[in-house]
Amino acid sequence: MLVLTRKANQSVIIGDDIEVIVLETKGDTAKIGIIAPKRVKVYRQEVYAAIKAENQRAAELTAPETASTLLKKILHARGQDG
Amino acid sequence: MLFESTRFGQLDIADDKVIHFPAGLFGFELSRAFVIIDADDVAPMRWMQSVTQPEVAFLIVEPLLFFPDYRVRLAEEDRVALQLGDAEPVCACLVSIPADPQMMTVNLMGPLVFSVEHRIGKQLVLHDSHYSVRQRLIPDEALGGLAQPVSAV
Repeated sequence: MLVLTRKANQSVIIGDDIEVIVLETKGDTAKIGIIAPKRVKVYRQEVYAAIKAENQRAAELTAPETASTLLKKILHARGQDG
Repeated sequence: MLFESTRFGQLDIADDKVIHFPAGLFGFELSRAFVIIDADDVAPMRWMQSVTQPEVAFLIVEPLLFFPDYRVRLAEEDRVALQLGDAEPVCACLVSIPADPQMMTVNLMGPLVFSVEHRIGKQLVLHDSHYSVRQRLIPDEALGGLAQPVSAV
């Protein structure tokens, strides 16, 4: 991993068209700004990690038939209400 | 194409039924092609079986069935990636079923979108939405109602 030390308002350039700017630091928190083309997706790492973990969980299926029965009941009940 | 899947055994899959995920799914980057399998015993869910990794199969559900207000905002580059043109994509979300199926959840934060015409799919990250990766499908208040006949409102 490349490690660089930056102060507030200093930035790093990644590739030809991405700039990451340290806007402010306060205690253990850094506020950063990212300038990147729209095609580059930028997420907080924990959002990405949460979706990855949930995909993993979704692949470990236990009782799909019981789940199906429950969902059918819900849709049926709603149909009667409507 | 014949494919030996772990859950369904041998599948004979027509090429025009395969949905391609050029980027795979998050954490399943090697699963770049799937086939949808309908089965009464899992409806209204459907199976989504990987055709590159035999052991990988998911259950998906159409989110609007349970969350009529659910909306996915597609970025222009996603529309291009899916070759959508003016068409609207089909949306499905992955279901997780824990040991107690009443606690089953659906991932509304990371929906799958497909172009029907080109059979290209993508998992989105709705990172600026309020949607959950673990939205309960069966709310607590419905559980009582499931045991008893539902009365008319």
